[in-house]
Amino acid sequence: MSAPGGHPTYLAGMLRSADGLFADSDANRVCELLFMTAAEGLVVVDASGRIIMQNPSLGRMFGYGPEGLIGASIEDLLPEAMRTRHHAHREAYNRKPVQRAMGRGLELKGRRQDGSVFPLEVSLNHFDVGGKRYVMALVTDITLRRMAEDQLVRANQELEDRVEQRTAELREAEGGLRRALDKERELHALKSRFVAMASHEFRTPLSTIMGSVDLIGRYAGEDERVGKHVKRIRGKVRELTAMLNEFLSLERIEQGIVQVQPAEIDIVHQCIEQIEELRGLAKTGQSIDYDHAGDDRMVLTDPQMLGHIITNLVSNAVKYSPEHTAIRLHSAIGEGRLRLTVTDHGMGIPAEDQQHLFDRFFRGSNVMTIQGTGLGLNIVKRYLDLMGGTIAFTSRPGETIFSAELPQRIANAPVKNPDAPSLP
Amino acid sequence: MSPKPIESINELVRELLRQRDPSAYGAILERYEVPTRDLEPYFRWNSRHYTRTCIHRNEYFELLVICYEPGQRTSIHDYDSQTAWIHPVMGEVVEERYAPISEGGLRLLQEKHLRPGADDSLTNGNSIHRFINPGPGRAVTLNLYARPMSKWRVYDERTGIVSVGPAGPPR
Repeated sequence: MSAPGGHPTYLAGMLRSADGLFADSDANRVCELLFMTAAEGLVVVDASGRIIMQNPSLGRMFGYGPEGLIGASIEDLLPEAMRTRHHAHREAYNRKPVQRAMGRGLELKGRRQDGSVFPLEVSLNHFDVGGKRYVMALVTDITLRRMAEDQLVRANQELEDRVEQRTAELREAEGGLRRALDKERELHALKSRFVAMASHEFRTPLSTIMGSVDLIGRYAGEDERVGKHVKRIRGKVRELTAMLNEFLSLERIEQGIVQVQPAEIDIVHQCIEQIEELRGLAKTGQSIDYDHAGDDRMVLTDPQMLGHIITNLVSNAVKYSPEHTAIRLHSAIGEGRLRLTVTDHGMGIPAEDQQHLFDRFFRGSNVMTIQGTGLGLNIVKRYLDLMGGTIAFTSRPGETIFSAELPQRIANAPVKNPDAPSLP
Repeated sequence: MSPKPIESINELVRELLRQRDPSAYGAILERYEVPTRDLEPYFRWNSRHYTRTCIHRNEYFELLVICYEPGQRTSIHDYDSQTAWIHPVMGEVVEERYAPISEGGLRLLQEKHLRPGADDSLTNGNSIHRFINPGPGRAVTLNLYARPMSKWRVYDERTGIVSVGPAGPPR
């Protein structure tokens, strides 16, 4: 310990070991060790700011020797720009000294002998000896801590920058998605309008063709050659019309404008009418039989949707069965449900295709050469969904059975009877 | 004294409901003098196929109005009703009756033209037959079945196979 005028021996009386007071000599030794070996810099200045004591750590911290600062001004340890102001601060402290951390809220800096500047923390205390005021400072080099803090700040900043960048990217991506979605919606609407317009516009000339073909058939009378071609044209026009109707139906379902329009109908006559219409599609020797089980025949349902379901299931049976095979439509009513079953003895549905059968535009791998849109069963299922019905099937080569089931009376439906007025 | 004519559909249905013996239905229909306008609420027209509209049905009988656009026809068919009476209401229909032949196919047995106002009611029971509206106007018939049908069997006129579907080219 270096101090002008000898050691401040009164310190020794204040030091205690675990089992009592240190002897003066030991206490002085302890104080010296504390002062000399402390990692922080310790410095004592007099009232004029002259350094009268320093420990080795302080010397190392500022690039001076172990005693190189004795006699120097404390302002020598500050960057030049701060010296004047520090002088004023020191004067103020001397007038009203308190134990405190120095420069709270300020960034304190020290200046090494080589002129380099580094951040530091200072704790101040004062004491009087022999009527003179001394100020002691504990100085800590916080370069590493500040570097770590700076690093943390930079890391935080980088993180924030990255978050901001990612957010911007996400916003951009979201905007892109929204634009793509809008575009998709626009295209879908365009497609819908086109399909609806095209289907509608195609149906009108087809209807005219059908009318003219009927007249040609009638004018041709018994001429079998004309009759054969008339029948062929009629068949193809029907196919085209059915395809267009499927596109239109799907479009209407997807637009959500299809609503169940219930009416009281006799299921037997509905089925016979459907079969009478479909008989023209049957191949040579194909039979289409119909039977109904039970006396109850009246159902409250949507006749258009039901007609579409029967037509689709029976015409599929016709299409995918060979000549000279039987097709059977069966209806039954029981426990408040209407059950329709269509059985054919055709090629069957391959097992691997069965799970996709009701998907839009799906066509079985064994029917690619047979005309179809892949929409029929999808529409059937959607109509059944709308009416609270279900559909199932079993299939193997040689026999396929489709079973549709729906409420005998659609719940809470307003009744519209297109046929009969009330009777006695 | 001639029997009292039946002049409305409601009256016809009441008469039929009173009678449980199908053999008496013919006599009831002989008294039929219902004006066509009384049936008009049951008329339905469809450009793709003829239509069948039920007026009344119970466990003994079924009364239908059948509407044909010009050129429309039924398939060649039969059904499980024991007896059917067909009464022309409007236009003209032709009934063709067929019989299966041993070498396959169907043979046309007879044709009968039915027009309103003539002695024209037809009883065809469970025969194999079809109806055609030869045109040029629309045609309507009133059909009475005893008992109500629940089976419909279509014959293929090309192959003659019983219980077979499609009709051939227009005749």
